[in-house]
Amino acid sequence: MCKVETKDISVYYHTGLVLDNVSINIEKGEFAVVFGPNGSGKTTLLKSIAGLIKPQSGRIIINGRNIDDAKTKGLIGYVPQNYEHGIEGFPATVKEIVSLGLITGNYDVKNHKSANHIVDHMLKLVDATHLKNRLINELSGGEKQRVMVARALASNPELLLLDEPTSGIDIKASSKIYETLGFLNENLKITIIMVSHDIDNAVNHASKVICINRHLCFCGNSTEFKATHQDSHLFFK
Amino acid sequence: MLEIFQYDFMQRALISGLIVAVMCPMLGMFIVLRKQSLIGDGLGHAAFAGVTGGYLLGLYPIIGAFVFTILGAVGIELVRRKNSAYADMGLAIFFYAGMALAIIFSSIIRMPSSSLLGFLFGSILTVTYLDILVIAFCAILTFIFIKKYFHKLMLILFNEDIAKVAGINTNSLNMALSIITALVVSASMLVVGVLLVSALMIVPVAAARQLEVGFKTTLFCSIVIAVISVISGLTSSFYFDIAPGGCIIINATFIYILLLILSNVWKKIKYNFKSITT
Repeated sequence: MCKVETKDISVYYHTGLVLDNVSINIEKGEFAVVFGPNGSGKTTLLKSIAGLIKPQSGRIIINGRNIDDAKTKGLIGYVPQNYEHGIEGFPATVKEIVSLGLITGNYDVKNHKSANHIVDHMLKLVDATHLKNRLINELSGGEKQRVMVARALASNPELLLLDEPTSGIDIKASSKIYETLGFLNENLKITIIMVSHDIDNAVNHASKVICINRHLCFCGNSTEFKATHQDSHLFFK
Repeated sequence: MLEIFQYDFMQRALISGLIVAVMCPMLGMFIVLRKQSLIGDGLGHAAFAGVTGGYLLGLYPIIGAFVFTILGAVGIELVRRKNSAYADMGLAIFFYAGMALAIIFSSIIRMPSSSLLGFLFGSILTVTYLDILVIAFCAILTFIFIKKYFHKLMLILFNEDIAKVAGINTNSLNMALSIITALVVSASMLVVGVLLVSALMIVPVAAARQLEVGFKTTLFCSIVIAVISVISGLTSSFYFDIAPGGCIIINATFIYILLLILSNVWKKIKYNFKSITT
């Protein structure tokens, strides 16, 4: 389980301020969902927590450690947005993609037998065992997302970061993704932070809701959010 | 067919050809997926500038080639890192700049254009045992690097952000891959020519990708295709008395076209079978 804290982080791009003094606190084992309009800084917040963007000010602490420590120890599993163009034409089977999840800065795939076992287990967790020997390019959007989640889980992370995992897939496939994430959060106690536009579905599965529009608009539990859901647009003002 | 390999020069050509056939697709697999298929040509032209610059400064030409290709590789990688969507633009800039410098240097030292063409096309039939040692060293270096960092390089190709989150130093590995490519191109161009090295990095990989199999199988198949191209190319060049480098590349291209057609036919058969059964 993983605790995530951002303390007064601000990020500027050449186009201007994207995150303005955002402080959030996500407790161990929470399932947090991040909402906000387009260009509100959701992806920037997630990338900052993943260590891909260095905020100009403020601090990010994961389990009391610096972000770089957490990365090399494989604490973070990351499913990015728009990975599709990278997958296009990439000659790899689902098994090969999931086994890539075992690699961290300090660890490479050496024991093929145990790697195979882990891959099988991860695919079973996301209900994708039948896809093991298929090429990643042949899969549907929902299937690819489940494979990406399986890959992110392979290093046994304590924190799972997902950037719009249900965008561009149908309702049935996105329900399956939420089901899988809910299962991982409840049974494996993995802390999840997910960026989403799908407010209704995400809030039903999340325990914490974070709304941002460059600055923090709302940060509280999902029950509290649901009570004010009808006026959710007010959060973004 | 075996009688042609009784000649000493053909044995050396076969050994050097097979080494290049195994080494080039190993690097080529990563280069093609990084969308830098023309890097061999870009670096080859930087090497031209190095060779002519070496002559100009009174240095051994291979030293000039190594210096210019490594500088070129570093430059190309820095441009790619700044904006990966324009990776091909960086290649083109170094390609033209290398060629322009080579022309300027060769005009100063009055180097005949036939010498430059020698570097472009090389001659696999005139390789010496020392040449074989040079490319064998490059092949061993390439093999060790790819074997050690295979999965990390594969993850970087798949998604660089995911690799960074996993704690992999993507900048160092990308730079190391570019520098090894530069070393291979500059060492091999003096032996078998830029054209053959660049083509064997790309065409067998492009052909193997038509098979639509996994990453490791694609890599293995591309090496097999390169080996077949080298053996068939050398054999046909011997019997028809034509340029061996050209024969090897044309054979590899023929395999690519054949697999492209077969793959499309197979897809159509599969699609028709599916629509009948459903």
